[in-house]
Amino acid sequence: MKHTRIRVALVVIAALLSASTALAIETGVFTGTVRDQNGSAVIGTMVTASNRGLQRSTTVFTDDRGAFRLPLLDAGTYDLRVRRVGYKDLIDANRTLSDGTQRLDLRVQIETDPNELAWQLPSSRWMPLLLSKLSSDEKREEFTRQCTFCHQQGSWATRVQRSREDWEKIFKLMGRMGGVISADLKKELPDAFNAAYDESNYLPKLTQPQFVPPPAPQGAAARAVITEWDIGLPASLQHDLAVHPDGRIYSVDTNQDQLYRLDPRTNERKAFPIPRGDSPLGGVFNVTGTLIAPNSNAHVAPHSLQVAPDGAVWITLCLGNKVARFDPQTEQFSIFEQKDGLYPHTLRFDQKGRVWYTLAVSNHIGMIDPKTGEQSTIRLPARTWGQAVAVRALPMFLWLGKFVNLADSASGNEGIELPVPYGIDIAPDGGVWFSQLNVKRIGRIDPDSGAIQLIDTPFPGPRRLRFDSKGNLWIPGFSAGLIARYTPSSGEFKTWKLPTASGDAPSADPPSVETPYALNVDRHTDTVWICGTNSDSLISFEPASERFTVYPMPTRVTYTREIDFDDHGGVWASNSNFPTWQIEASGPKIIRVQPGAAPMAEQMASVQ
Amino acid sequence: MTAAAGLHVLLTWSAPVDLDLYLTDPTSETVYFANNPSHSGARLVRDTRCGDVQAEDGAFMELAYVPEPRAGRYRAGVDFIERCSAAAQPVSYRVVAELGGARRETTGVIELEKFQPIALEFDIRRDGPDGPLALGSASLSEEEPP
Repeated sequence: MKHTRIRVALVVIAALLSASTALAIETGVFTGTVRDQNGSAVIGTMVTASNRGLQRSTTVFTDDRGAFRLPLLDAGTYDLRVRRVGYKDLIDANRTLSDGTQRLDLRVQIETDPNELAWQLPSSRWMPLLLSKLSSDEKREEFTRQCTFCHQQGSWATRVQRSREDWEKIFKLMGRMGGVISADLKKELPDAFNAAYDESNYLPKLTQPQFVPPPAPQGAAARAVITEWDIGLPASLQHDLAVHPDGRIYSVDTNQDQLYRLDPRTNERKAFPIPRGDSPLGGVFNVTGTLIAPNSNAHVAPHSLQVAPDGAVWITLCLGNKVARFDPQTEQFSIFEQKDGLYPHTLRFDQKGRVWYTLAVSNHIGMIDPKTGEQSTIRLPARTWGQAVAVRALPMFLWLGKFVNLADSASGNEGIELPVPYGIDIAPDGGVWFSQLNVKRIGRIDPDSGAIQLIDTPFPGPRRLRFDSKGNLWIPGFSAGLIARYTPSSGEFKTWKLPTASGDAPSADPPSVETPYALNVDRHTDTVWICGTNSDSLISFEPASERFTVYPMPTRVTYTREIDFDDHGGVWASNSNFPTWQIEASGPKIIRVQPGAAPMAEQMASVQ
Repeated sequence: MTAAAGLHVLLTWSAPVDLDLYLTDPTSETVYFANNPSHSGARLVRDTRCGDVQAEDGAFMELAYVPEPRAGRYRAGVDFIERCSAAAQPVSYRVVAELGGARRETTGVIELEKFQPIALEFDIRRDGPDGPLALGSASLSEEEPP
């Protein structure tokens, strides 16, 4: 027995030595402190180590002593960036990390230039300057819903002044891309933009009487590790992502017809071109004058994806008007043509393995049963008679467009606002729930009878909704800056206004604006995770304590549209602002947040 | 067209309407009327509107200029955004790219509100590590996956 214990101990020691040797050869640690020029600790500073070779960045935050410790990183050359709003960025490029611990005592300079300070603030602090110039809450809501669904408003690229003529041309272009706004709003916007983003307006509003930076992250956010993988191209539109049970991450590039796969364990990335068939550039909408981006190669335009119970990855192809199935084993695609309906959008699987998806333009819900090959569509009720006519006329419009130019008579610029079925999820009882983005409504389809129940939401812009483990439906109010919980059994809504993730001056007028594009519920914990789409953040919400926690993202113009979870507590999102060149460093990213995962900086002292 | 060095891309058309030139560079950023100059250094040096084409001496043209072009793929797109006071008839256009005396060009016809994202594609290549930039192949309405 004694010998056995000694043998076990020796084996354990040998294994530890072996692991330690391996780690020492291949990995190292950056640790240290961040102080300002006066020697004061700078709390909540992002410290980001970017490995250009691996195209991967890792970020942690300094604690209340200004100390940080990045997790183990591959040995190599890193660019370090130290960032805290209110200070000048510190860039320390080409720093070599070898085995062991590298201690850094970093000094940042307090930023004193009011323009630079204002410029550091996220869009959520700038956009209210514009909203406050509009004449009514209705116009503010309309602008938020229609003018922020591809990109942030208030980012460095959009807080600009232009001539009225330029603005009017831009509204026309945006209308052809689906951003339909009313004639009244169009009249007001040019002056509103130009007044809001005049230096005489924004400087005092954003920097006086004192400059207030976004608050330092708290709780699990303060000790989060955030990893970003570059993926795709500046010409990409990386839309959604999904975590596969095998640990790999899939995302889709709407602009380049690609499916991407990232293995975060090996850093391997692979692109799979999605078959285009006979879809022309622009897909089924190429006859309508619908504007695609000038750098687009989108024939089918993959939009959203989900992993099926059998491990296949299903993808909606919104412009191609198809649904694709990708087999990770064979790496082959199967394509399902959409017979009725237009614009396959968000998709979810039910307990029977059927995939349900919204058809955003034609106001349908679609279903495919992979076992039988059955495909069906259910037309949803419109809100108005005009909408009902419009969605029925669309197929005829597309057909006619092949033969005659309907542009002048049917420009999307001032057309009827369509209902737009958007988010979708499956309830524990199998009910198929959806939102209708533009008509303040959610609904339930009985999957057996096809019966539809409609429920008005007490807020505008219900977008990507999800169920928790208890059967509550959580809904982001995109243009209301809130989340809501709907309890089907009681029919009750409860709403929570989102925190001002980017911080506000105590007397901020107007306050920050958040635009939650999507949320997801971790069904192991029922924590609700929300896209801080306009504030470069992810936000978690604990229903029991009703507490929000804000996770600042390291990259400016991080516009997230979808959230997923891995089995190790990791929260995944993708940087999806479009156009992509507006994103800091001009590239889309896959993002993983590991709440509370940063090594304690205190431990570092004993390591030294 | 090329008094200065650099890449010039010229769009001309045949009727008093508003056509817009879009020039996308190898960084995938596009210079056009609403992103002028681009952050990668391209400029739309001639930006024509309805008011311009309706003037008596109006010229139907837009011109993009890249003073220091980088090697890679360029894409010129054309949009017929406003018919101004003209009839909504298809309009003929020509796109010409010029670098160092070499030209690539194409012609086409465009309908109102029918954006043509790839009117002309061409490559700029560097001849040797320190060699000059030169215009490479051109294609019309062709594309390659990234």
